[in-house]
Amino acid sequence: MHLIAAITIALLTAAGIFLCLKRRTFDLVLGLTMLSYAANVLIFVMGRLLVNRAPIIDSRPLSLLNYTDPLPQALVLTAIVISFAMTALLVAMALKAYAQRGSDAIDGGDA
Amino acid sequence: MIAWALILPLGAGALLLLLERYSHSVQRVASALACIAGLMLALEILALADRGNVQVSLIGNWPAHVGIVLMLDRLSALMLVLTAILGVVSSIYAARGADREAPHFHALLQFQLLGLNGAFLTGDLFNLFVWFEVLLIASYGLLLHGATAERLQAGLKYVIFNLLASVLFLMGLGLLYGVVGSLNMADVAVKVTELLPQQQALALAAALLLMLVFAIKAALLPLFFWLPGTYGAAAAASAVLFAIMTKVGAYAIVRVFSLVFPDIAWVWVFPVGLLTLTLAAIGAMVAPSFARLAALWTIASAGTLLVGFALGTEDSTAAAINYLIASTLLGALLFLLLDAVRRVRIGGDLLDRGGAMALAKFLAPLLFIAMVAAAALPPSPTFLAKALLLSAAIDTAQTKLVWGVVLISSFLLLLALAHAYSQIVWRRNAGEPATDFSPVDLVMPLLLVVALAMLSIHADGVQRFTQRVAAQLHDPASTIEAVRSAPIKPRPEIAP
Repeated sequence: MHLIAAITIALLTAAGIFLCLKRRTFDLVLGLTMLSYAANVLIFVMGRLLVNRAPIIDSRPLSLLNYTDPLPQALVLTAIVISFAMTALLVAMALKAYAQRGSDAIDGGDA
Repeated sequence: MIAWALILPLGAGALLLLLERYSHSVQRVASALACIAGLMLALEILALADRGNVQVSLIGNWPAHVGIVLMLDRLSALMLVLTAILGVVSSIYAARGADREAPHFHALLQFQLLGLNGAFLTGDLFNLFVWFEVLLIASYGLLLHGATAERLQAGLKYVIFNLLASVLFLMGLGLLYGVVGSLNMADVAVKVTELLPQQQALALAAALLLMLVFAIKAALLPLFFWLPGTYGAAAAASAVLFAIMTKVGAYAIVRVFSLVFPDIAWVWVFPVGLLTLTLAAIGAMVAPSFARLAALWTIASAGTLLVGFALGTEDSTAAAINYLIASTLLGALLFLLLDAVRRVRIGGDLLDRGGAMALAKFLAPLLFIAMVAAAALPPSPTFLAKALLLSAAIDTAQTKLVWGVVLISSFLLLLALAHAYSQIVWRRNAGEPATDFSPVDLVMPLLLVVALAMLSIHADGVQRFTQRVAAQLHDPASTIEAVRSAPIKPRPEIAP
């Protein structure tokens, strides 16, 4: 399970960086989305991957053997919301720039 | 008390959104009043911080290593005051028309002040990320206002660059939490020293990722290419606040790396700071416009600042803080005057051609003072700060390097600024320029000039204060102790 998570993060990061190096804003938006997915999964994994453990305290004794760490889940929720809003803003700006210039290239040249 | 520095701009911002249905003058008065109240609050907080204890406020009454902590020391209080001064200048200067073309200008201004204050007060790394996003999203709105092609072009790059930085910030935070198990700065500082060697490496990688992010904000060497276009394109009222945005990056470096990994970080910052300063000074020599020149000067000042911090002695830190105060106010002044020059000169702010300039008898003296201060000539406060920095460098191993780079880059900047002044003011062509500018618009620049003059006149008081700030920064143990031992208030019993 850890290996799958690690490979997923690596692939998402690699694809994200590759897309970010392109000239068109469309590719860039996709790349940034993938990078932020990679960051989100990374934070989530950093709370350790455990199966069938809830972060909510019930009758079991208080120990990280019985519960998963709730903090990364709270952090990742914040991160998802923020990156979602930022991506939406970027898309709006990219559309406006495209409408003004008729080109999707970041520097305004031919794409 | 500390939390009011966040509640005030948040409340004012929300109120200003409601006031948008009324006339511009109502909004302007409300915004200016909120900013002035913020300045008075910041001064009060500075007096509180100057008593010497690190003030800690536990949000939600959670222990420091679990919840979010606000911490206030002399440096963060100083940054709050500088932010509040720029807030007042920006909100009043915007009344000359910038707030008409920009929807929600005053509300966004308050939200940006909120983000800045939060970034300066927080003692939690993830919370720092959140405040960075708050101030960035407000700054996107302020930068893009009017959405002209030029601003959209510069804004797109600015947003993309900062989004990338945010992702790196998150990855650094994730790694750090995975290894250390805490994101509270003081808690991390202690726990990092207790790690096993193989964990140390991962924690170090995470810390250097954070350093990279802060370096983007502070516009250090390979990462400053977004800045000149962005700052040049911004409207003056928003560019004023951008004068403190690079300082946020520098502040974050100082705040985090004076507590966590103090030995390793400065090894990187020192050469990068010197190179940034050199390259910015060379760039200033060939700047095609005053906007470019002012932006490159901002980058050079960020470089100087971090060289001072990286030298690592108490005197050099004090000199760097001295420079921070003067260069923040001066940066704001330069961007206000840039706006004035653009409005009254036929050639705009371009330096390769002459152009008739209206109102030269009002504008030229202010421009002259700003240029003298930017070139760090006496009697400006920047001169004093740089002299203190050079004298602090004598005690360190890198004396020759620092003296060489700082003096040569200062000389290059002096040449560039002198050239810019002579092109703008003296090289005139015939013709009467149309102008929508009146001497009243120079009140805010004049106020900043007075503030700079006060810094020079009260140089000994300022210097003693910066010594106290530096002494507190060089005593991280008491900061860590204050945060970790902050008492939790007893909770009222809740009936089951």
